[in-house]
Amino acid sequence: MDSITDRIYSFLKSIKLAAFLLVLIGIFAIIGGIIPQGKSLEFYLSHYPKIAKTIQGLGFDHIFTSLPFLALVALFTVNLTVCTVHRFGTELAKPREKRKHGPDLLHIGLIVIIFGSILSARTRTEEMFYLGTGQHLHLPDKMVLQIVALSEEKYDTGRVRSWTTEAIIRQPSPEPTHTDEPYSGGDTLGEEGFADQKLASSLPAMPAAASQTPAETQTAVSVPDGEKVTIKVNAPLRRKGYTVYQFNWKKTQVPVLVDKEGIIKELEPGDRIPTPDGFILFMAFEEAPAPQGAPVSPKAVFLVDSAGKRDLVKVQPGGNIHGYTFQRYDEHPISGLKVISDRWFPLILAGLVLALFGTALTYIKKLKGLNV
Amino acid sequence: MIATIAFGLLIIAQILQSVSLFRTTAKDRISPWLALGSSILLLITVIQRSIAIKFFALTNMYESLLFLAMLASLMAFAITRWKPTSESKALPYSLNILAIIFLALASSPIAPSTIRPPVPALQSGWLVLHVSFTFIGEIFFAVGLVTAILQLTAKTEDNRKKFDRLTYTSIAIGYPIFTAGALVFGAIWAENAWGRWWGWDPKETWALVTWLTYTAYLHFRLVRKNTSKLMPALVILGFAIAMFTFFGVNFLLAGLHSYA
Repeated sequence: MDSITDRIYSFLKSIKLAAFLLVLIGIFAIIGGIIPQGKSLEFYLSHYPKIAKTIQGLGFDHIFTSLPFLALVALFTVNLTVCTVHRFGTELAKPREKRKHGPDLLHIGLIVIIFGSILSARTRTEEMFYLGTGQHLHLPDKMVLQIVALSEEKYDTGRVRSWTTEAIIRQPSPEPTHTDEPYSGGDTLGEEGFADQKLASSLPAMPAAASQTPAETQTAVSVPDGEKVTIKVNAPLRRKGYTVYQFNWKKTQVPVLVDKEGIIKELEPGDRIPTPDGFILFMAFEEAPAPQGAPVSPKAVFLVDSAGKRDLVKVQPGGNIHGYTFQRYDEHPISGLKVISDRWFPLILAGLVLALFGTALTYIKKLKGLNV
Repeated sequence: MIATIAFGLLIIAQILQSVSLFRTTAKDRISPWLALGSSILLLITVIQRSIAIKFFALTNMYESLLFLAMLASLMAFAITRWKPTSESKALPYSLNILAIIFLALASSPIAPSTIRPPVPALQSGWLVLHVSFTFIGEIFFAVGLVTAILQLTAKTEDNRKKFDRLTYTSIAIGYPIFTAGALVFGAIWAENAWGRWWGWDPKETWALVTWLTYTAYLHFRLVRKNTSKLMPALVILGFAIAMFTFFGVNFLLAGLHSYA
C-alpha cells in the first residue's frame, strides 16, 4: 500500500490536478476580467448596485491579489514544480534520442515567470514625474536627468505622432539642497529653482496657444554638460538598475511678465523673480485654467515680497505686479516620465523566452510524431 | 474598393461551395482559388493602408478585421492543398464563412475604415508581432473549432478519431503561435511602452483565459485521449473566448486596448 507521502506526491504531480487548477484559475480570471478591479465602493454601487457589497465582501474587487487566488497560484506552482521534476527525471532515464524536454522547458519557464513576478512585485519601484524644459529629477543612481528640449510632433490631422524628451544626464550639483535627496522629483523652488529659472529665462518666446500650429511644437534650453539622451514612447531610456519611460504628456499655462525694459519672464509655479527690494513668487492659479484653446483668463496668484513685507496678489493678464506687467499666458509642454526600477524583470523575460521555446519544441516534436 | 472585390470573390466562392455540398460527385475546384484571390486582394489593401500610415496597418479594429479575413481566406485555400484535409468540404466552407463575417464586420459601423496613423504607443515592432502572431494562432484555433464541431457530430468512431487528430493538430500549431503573440510579444511590448509587462488589463486577462482554456484542452487530452466530448467542447469554448477577447472586451470593458 502506498504511504501518505507517496499519495501526496502522486496527487501533486497529477496532470488532472493541473487541468483542474487551470480551470479554477481561468474562472477567477473571468471574474476579474468582467468586474473592474481596484475601484471604490461608490464605483461598484453606481455600476452594480445590487451586488456591490457582495463584490467587496468576496474580494472580487481585488481578485488577483485575494488570498484564494494566490493560494490557487501557489498550489499550481507546487503542482508544476513537482510535475516538472518528476517528468525531467523520467525523461533523463530514457535514451537520449527519445527524450522530449520541450514540456520541461515550458514548465520551467512558467515557474521562473511566477517566481520572477513574486520577486518583482516585492522589489519593484515606480515613480511618476512631470517636468518642463530646464527642470530635472534625481535618478536612482544619484545622477540627475535634466530636460533640455521637449517636442511634440503631430500628423496633419492633429493626431499625436510622437512625444520626445531630450535630456542630459549629469552629476548632481555640488551644493546640497533638499532636492538632492535620491529619487526626488525636479522642482523649481529654492536655489536650484533659480538655476532652473536662468535656463528657463533663455527660452525663446513661445507663440500664444491660439496661434500654435499642429505640425510640431518644441521648446529647448541651452544644453549643460552631460550625457545626451532621448526618451520616446516605445523607446525608453534603459540604464543599469532602472528605466525611464515617456509615459505621458501635458500642456501647462505659465504667466508671462514683462518688466519696464521689455524683458520677458516666464514663470512656473514656485519660480521667483528678484526685485530691488525683495522678490515676486508665482504660486498658483486661483482656478484651474481651461483646456487648450478655450478662452480663459484665470487669475494668477503671486507672493510679493517688498522690503520684508509680504502680500498675496491675484492678477489677470493685463494687470500690474510690483513694476511688472502680466502680459499673457504661454503654453508649455510638460513631459510625464516614469522611472521604474525592476531588477527582476530580466528573470521574467528569461522565463517568457524559456516558456516560448519550450512550447515550440513540445509541439514541433508532437506534430512530427502525428500521422495526420 | 479592393476589399469589396475580395468580399465579392468570397461570396462567389461561398455559392460554389454551397452547390458543391449537395453534389457528391463533382469536386469544387474553383472556390479555393477564389479564396486565394480574395486573400491576395486583402493583402494588397493591408499594404496600401500600411503605405498610407507609414506603419504596418494593424493598429485598429478595421485593419485587424481585414488581416483576419485575409488569414481566414488564405487558410480556406491552404486547407484544400493539405492532404489530410483536402477532401473536407466543411473546413473551407466554414473558413470562407468566417472570412465573410470578418469582412462584413469591417464594413459595419463598429469598425470605421478611416485611415488613421498610429499614436505613439502603437508605433512598435513588438505590436506588429503581438497582433499578427495572435491572429495567426487564432486562425488555427478556427480550424480547430470546425474540426471540433465535426468531431462532436461525427457518426462513426473512425471519423471521430480523424477529426480529433485534426483538432489536436490545429491547436498544437496554433497554441505556440498564440502564446508567442498574445502573451510573450504582448508582454514585451507592454514593458517597452508602459513599463509593466502585465497589468491585469481586461484584454490581457481575457487573452490569459483563452490561453488557459487551450492549455486545459491540451492537458485534458493527455489524460482522457480522444473519447471524451469534453475536449472538442473546450476547443469550441476556447474559440468563443478568443472572439470575446477580440470583440467583446473592446466594446464592453474599458482598458488600455480600447483602440485595438
